[in-house]
Amino acid sequence: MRVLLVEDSARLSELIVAGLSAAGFAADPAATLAAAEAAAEAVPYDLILLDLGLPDGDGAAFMRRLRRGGCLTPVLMVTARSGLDDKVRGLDAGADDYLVKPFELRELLARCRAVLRRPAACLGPVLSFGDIELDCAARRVAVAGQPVHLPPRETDLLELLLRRGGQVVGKPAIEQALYALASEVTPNALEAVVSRLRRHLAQAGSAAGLHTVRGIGYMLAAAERP
Amino acid sequence: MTGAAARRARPLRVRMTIRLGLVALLFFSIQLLSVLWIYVRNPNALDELLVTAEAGRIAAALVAAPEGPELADPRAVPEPFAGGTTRAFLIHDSVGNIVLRHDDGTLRVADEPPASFVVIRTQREQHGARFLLSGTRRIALAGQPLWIGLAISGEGFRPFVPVIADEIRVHVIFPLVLLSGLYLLFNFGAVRSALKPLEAVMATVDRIDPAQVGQRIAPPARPVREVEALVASVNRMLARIEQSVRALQDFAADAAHELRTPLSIAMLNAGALPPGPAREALLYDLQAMRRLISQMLDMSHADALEIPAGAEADLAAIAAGVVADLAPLAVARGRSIAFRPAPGPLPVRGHADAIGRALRNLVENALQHGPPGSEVAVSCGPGAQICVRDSGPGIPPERRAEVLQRHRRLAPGDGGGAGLGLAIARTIMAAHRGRIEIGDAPGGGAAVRLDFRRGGSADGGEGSA
Repeated sequence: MRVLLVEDSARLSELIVAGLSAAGFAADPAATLAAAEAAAEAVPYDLILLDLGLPDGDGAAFMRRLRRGGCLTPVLMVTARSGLDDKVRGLDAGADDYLVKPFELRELLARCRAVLRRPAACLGPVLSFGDIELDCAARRVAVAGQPVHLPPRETDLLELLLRRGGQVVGKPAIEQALYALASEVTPNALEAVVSRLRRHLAQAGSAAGLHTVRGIGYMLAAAERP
Repeated sequence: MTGAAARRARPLRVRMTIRLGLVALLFFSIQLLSVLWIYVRNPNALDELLVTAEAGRIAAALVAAPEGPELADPRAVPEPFAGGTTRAFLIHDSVGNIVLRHDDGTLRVADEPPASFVVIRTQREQHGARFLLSGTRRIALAGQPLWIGLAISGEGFRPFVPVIADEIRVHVIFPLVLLSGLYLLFNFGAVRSALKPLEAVMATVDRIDPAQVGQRIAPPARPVREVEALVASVNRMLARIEQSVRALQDFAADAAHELRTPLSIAMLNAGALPPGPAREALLYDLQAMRRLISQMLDMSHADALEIPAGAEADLAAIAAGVVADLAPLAVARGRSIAFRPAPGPLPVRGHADAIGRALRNLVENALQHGPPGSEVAVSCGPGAQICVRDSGPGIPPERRAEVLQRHRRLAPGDGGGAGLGLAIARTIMAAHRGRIEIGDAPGGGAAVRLDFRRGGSADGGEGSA
């Protein structure tokens, strides 16, 4: 995965590049918009991390230029701006996600992965979260490297949750995806699938947990912090 | 300054009254002196006055009887007006008959009647220190003219003192008292009505909310130049205060903003440390600092919040979004969040992002206060309201108003945040003309409600365009 990091603070840039490299990304730093533009033209990046306040201009304008030029590379805005509606404006300008400074490396990595997992990003066929891996094409699931057999519906649910690992997936969205063509969905059908998937994951010894957020949906979360 | 402050401030009305009184007193003295001066320089005037006063006194004692005028009490001839004088009088009627006469020892008035045209006649004869005044005054009794002839004999200036006193009483004291009284009355009313707009201004100044630094005083309804000047000057002062408050707020916000990059660096550095309790403790502290900074910025955004006309937000969608956003945090802390949605959307006039931040702060507080493993419940409705319940220790009723203030926390050092969460929510609610209410959750714990139903709800039909 090749990542372009547009950040003007040299120290921060250095630390993020180190963190991304340790996580298996190849990151190129750019300290100015001019440098970022040149790099984006030269290299097909998989992801752009974009700071908004840059010495030679506004990151949002750069992003709009990218989008107008037909570039679909996912953009994660990493910014100190947290004013009202700043996030909405950022997303409207074409960003895929918005992360406010300061942040921990694990948050940044989780967001990067989440953005890359989105279907629009046409991520490679293997999705992973924590110790869970799913080969989308082959529909094969593994926990901590050991294959686990899951029925199709549970696999579909896992894929949905993996694509947004660490974040809540709304119940209506899951129902729509799982039962798109089914004529009737009983209210308990999804709960049954969730509890079966939870049992399978637990039996396989996964450290990740499938959490219910009552009234909203479900989320896959990494092991709780000690 | 301290001495003046210790003295009780007198109202302007009293002050003006005292000053006017002093001026009246001064005026009285001047007039008194000038009256005395005029009469001392002009003794003939005094003679005339004395004769007139004596005639007046005699006339007052007369009554009209069928046989002609007579003394009301024949035995009581009126005493001479001026002490130390002898006085004789003689009264003629219109045909020259003597109606009444009174001699005083050797002093008597000649019998011949005065010419009928005489109204006033006064004459003085001086014999060494003694004087003899003779004169005639025409009076009317029961429509009939009478002539009183008078002779007054005395010595020196003393006999004239009562005349002068009388003169002063009638011509100086009486008008002056009347005039001063009217002036004081007018002054009282004038001061009162002049100060009335001032009182209105004071009341407005007292009502200024320190949280609303942009407030200004409206000019008085009835324009008075001085009051307008005062209002303008107070408003200029308010503008300067606003400027410095805003500078302070901006500074705090700028400082918080500028801290974000260094704090990011610190967090990344701490994250790169080898795993262990020290690293976790450091990360925990950095997280607390991060929340503090974001609360400071949220507070400054909340202070500056203005709701654009026609802005509409759906409370149900906002609450669902906040719960979904915070669920990972809850899970990471070993707590859970439950959302009880309303049956449909709950539209209000308001700023969605701001309302979301208010709610976010409440939920973060609730996650902090509930014990591990507990659940925070967020519910919407009925009507335009959102409620957040936790199962923590709750907030005692007597401290509920206090915790809504900035930098107030129930327990000192209670982890994370600047104690701004509830103040942020309160400020955002105030901008929406809504309320924040703290109560008890059914099973113990706090229940904090954001209530938009006063004026903010758009489901009444208006503003739902």
